[in-house]
Amino acid sequence: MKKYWKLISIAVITVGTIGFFYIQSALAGSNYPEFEIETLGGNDEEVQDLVLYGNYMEGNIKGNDFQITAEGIQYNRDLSYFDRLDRRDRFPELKRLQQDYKSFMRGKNSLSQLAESETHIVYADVTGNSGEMSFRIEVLDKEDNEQTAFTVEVPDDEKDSFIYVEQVYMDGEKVKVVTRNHVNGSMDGFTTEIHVYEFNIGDQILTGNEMILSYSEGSTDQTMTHVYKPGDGSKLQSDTHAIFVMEEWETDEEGGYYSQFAESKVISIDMETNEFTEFVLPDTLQGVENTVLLENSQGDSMLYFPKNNEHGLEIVVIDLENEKMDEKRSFTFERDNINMNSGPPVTAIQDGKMYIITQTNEEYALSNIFVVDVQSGELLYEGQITGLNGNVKSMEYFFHIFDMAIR
Amino acid sequence: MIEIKEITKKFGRKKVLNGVSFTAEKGEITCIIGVNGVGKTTILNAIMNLTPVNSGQILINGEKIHKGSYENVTFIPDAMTMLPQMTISQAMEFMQDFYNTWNQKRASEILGFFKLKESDRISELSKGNKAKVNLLLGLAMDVDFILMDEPFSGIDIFSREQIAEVFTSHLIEDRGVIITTHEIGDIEHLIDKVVLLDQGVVLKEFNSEEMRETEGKSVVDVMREVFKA
Amino acid sequence: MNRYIKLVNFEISRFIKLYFVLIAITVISQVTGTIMISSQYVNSASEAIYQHGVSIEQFITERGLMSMFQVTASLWFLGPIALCIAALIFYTFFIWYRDWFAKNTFIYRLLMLPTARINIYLAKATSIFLLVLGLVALQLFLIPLLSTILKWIVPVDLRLDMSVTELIDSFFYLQIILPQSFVEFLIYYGIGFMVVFIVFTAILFERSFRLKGILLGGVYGILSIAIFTMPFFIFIDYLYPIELLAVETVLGLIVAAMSIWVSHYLLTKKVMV
Repeated sequence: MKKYWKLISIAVITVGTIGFFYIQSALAGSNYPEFEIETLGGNDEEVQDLVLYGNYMEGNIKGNDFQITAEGIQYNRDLSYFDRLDRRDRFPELKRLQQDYKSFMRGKNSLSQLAESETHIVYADVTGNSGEMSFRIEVLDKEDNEQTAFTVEVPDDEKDSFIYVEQVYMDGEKVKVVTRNHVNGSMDGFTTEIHVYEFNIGDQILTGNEMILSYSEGSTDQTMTHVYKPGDGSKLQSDTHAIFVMEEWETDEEGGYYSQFAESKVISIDMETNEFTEFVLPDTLQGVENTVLLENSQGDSMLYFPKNNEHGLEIVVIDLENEKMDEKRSFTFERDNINMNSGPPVTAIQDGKMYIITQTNEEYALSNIFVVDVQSGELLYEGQITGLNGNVKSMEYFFHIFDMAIR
Repeated sequence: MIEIKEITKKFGRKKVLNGVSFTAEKGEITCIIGVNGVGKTTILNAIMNLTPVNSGQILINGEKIHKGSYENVTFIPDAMTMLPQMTISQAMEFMQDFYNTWNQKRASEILGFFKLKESDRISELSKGNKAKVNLLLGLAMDVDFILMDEPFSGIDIFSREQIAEVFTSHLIEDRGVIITTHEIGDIEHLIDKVVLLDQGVVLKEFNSEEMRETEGKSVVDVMREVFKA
Repeated sequence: MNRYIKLVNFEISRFIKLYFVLIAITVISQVTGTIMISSQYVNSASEAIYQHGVSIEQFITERGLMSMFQVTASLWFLGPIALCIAALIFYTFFIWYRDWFAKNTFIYRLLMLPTARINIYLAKATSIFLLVLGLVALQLFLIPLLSTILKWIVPVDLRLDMSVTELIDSFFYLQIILPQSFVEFLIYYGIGFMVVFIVFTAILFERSFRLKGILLGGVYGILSIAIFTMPFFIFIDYLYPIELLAVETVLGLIVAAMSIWVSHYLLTKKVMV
């Protein structure tokens, strides 16, 4: 045995040290500070289904991503590998669809390509290269679990280099697909078109193709245009409207090295009628375009812009039908602890309730949480995320909520 | 008995062995004679499965070579088979560690016979002493067969004499030996069987004593005849 | 003691001197680095505070707190790790070729051992695994030691203490060497060892067929990697992550088993001294 001391010692030290490290880190967990949701007012049932995603950082170095629920905080490093592997947690609706319709949902990871009704799920995708692109439409009948799929050639696709599916809408046999088509580059830069294609899933045919909007993304005539869908794609877009934000920038003659923000508009497409409306945002709403929320209430489609101002949290409401700001329905929650420099709030809307997270400027209260009834403007819940006393050792820390989901 | 049956070996397009067959018996010294580069070493490598043959068959006591065969056949190649940084005693320890048929008593005896020092490092030995270490490592095993590749090549005269002495000693006795050489001088009187090899072909296989008795020719006489023809 | 274990011990012994040198370089460099970086920080702090009248808070705002992160991100720390990685990658090849080349032709002895030849392959692979993991363990052992040194030098007000896990979270390179969870540890090092098996088999192709073998070995390597990575090209959209993991695990085992089987064939039927 003496001869084997090298082998034995290397093996024992290796297995011992690595084993000890992983056992100890599994048992002890990370040592990051605890944070919790503290209720200040309202019914705390309202935040039972809320999951907030954020990041904690000490001295710009030490920290980790986490999620906070009413039950407490969980740092990512304390999740098992398998839980971390399953990134769907960030997209509860995707997770629900993938769990309930496992086979149909295979390979379908983008909620913007899906629409769901009581009886069906429909999925739309565009495949192939320029000139031979085709739509692939897949439909699941939830009741008998029957899947149908068909492909239709994209009309006039010689001019398109890419087509992105932005939203899918379903009404009975009628399926509409909102796309953003990048037209092959010309001398004047790149042209992008927004189309609404209409299909009949019973007959498996394309029944309509309407170009809603065409704009140049290049820097022609000293303007630069940028169009995007607000939000982070975490919500299944079964809405009656497709919303885009269009930002325009003024550029100098040199071709866009020095560009200045000109204006931004909200573009709304009514999915029933393909009717297209455009609303230029007032100066006060510039810069918070991405927080826009759409909700249909009593037949009206309303856009909600939560934003921080010097008085507190303001929610500006725009009536899409009348294409104007609805002063009566806009409201402000006056708070003096909102950090104006922390960027726009993190927002979500579901079932007539709006969830808003803002950063505070207080030392141990890190974020405000608001749950608001969209109809009445009533504050259903108010709370804050606070560090548990004594747990935050260093004041040199950074705490930031960047996303949320409603389970 | 080691049976070599119709073995063929090609290196690239060159046929080094072309249907070589012969047998070597236990208790006999079989000598493969040929000029350099005729495939003598290749035959020994092939027996030990150190070089795969393209066709033919090699049987040791009627069996194909397997891991257990290495306990029963030992090969003393022309090259050192131990690490140069080892001392002779470490090399012997290694052998004892891995081979059940290693005979430590005999090893000590050979060590004394060759006047080698256990604590010497292999890399620091002279060429002759390296060859002796190689012999020691092979001969100290209780095996039926010993293969030796050119045991006399490139070493000094005294070492050669010492090595030659081994063949008449009890170290060889009733074992089977296959030895390759290109110069027969030192061991002509010792060998029982001769295999004359040229261009990968066995030109003649004969028993040296029978040859002397029946035809009155020495091994060298036969070699002259065959190789000149 | 069976011959496989004996061979592993033997292979380890052959590398042990160099291994101790690598360990010594790592320890010396990382300890020196910790002392240097910590002292420099403390020196500039005292210079700023006592000579230029800067307040501690202001100094911290400008320079940040001293932590193990600054140490691990330095060449003092990463240099020897890179050296060890390079040495072991090199040794993955050299562990075979050293037996054929140079003055000694130890391969004669290895191939004539009364044991299945695949044990030579497995012993060499095991040695590489142990040597790699030994260095990983060394690092796990060293980090707390370096933290302690840092604490001796830097006063508590100026430093940000980090545990080993926190340090790993903060630094991407460390996460590769020491993944967050044991499952990832198995995955990362499992893939690493599968690659070692593939490389070994490619080497044996070369040793069996020489020039032609380089080509065969290359083809074998590409084929193995192709099999292993195939799901990423074919099924990536089709499989759920957990299924992909399962498929990859099975494919990794298949590729490793295939390497061992092919090597067994080459060692018994094709390899040449």
